[in-house]
Amino acid sequence: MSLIKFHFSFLILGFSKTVELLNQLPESLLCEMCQEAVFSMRQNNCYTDLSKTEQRQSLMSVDEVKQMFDVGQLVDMQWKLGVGVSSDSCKNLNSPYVTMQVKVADPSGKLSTHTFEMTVMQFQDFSKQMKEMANVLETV
Amino acid sequence: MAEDSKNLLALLNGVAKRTYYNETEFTDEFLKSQIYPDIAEDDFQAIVSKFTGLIKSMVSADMDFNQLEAFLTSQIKKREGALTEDQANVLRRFWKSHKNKIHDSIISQTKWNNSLKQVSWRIDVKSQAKNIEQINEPTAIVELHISKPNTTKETDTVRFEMDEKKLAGVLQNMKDIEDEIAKYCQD
Repeated sequence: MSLIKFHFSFLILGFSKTVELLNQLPESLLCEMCQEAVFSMRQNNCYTDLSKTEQRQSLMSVDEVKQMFDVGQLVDMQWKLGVGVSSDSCKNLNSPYVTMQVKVADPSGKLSTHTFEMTVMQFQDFSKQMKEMANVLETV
Repeated sequence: MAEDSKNLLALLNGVAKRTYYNETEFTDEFLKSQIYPDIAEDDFQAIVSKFTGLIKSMVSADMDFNQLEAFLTSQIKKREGALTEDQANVLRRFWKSHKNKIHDSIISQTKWNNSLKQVSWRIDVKSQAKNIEQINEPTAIVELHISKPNTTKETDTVRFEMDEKKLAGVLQNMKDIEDEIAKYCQD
């Protein structure tokens, strides 16, 4: 079944897009697909001798797949609500904003900190996305 | 609308575009050639200078419409260089269309920190197939695209995953922020 999908995507999307897609698959599924491909080629008397190393080179590096899949972990999220009171061009600025600081640990454990600022509207959109995520997570 | 008023409104729109909306093509030369091609250069400069000053005052105070009336009345009553009623009408009309837009533009121009350009996310399910038990553990994977100030091209991509517990913590943060916004920002 997965091999049929692979053929389909190759036809519709072309080679590089298909490789991109394959890169996002989990390792176990990828191995399964490689085994299926080898099996079907052998069945059809294709004299293509795909050794394990050739498999990796011709499709993608399994290490690459692993790296894409191993994302960082959210360690901490801090926030601050501020109001812009006045500026040189507008004495009555009256503009609230949310500043967020996010600490992420990459797979090797290294910590990185990222800061960004949002208007109230942008924050509400951000908040909506988080709630949507939680809803989907619950139903999975 | 009378010819003079039409021209004045066009001038005000042009001044707003170059001063607040970053449309730098609306230079004095351009505006004069389009709106007042026949008047003397000095007269044109005087008009531009006067009305740019009036707009600046209105923008600086972010005048509501009551404040605008008081302001216009005082301008009309001036001994020298008083505003005509027609000109006051043009200013009223201009302010109605541009007040909020100019204010928003100033707010975004005074944002000198990183911005959040985009949030992407997906939910993955981690299943362990080779063990005896099959554990279906959903994880949220989030990608934040953070851009540096004053550049739309430089973007940092921050990617991280959260389990249900972590996400619940984030949601609590969201709720706290919403509560604080409701408390302090009574618009």
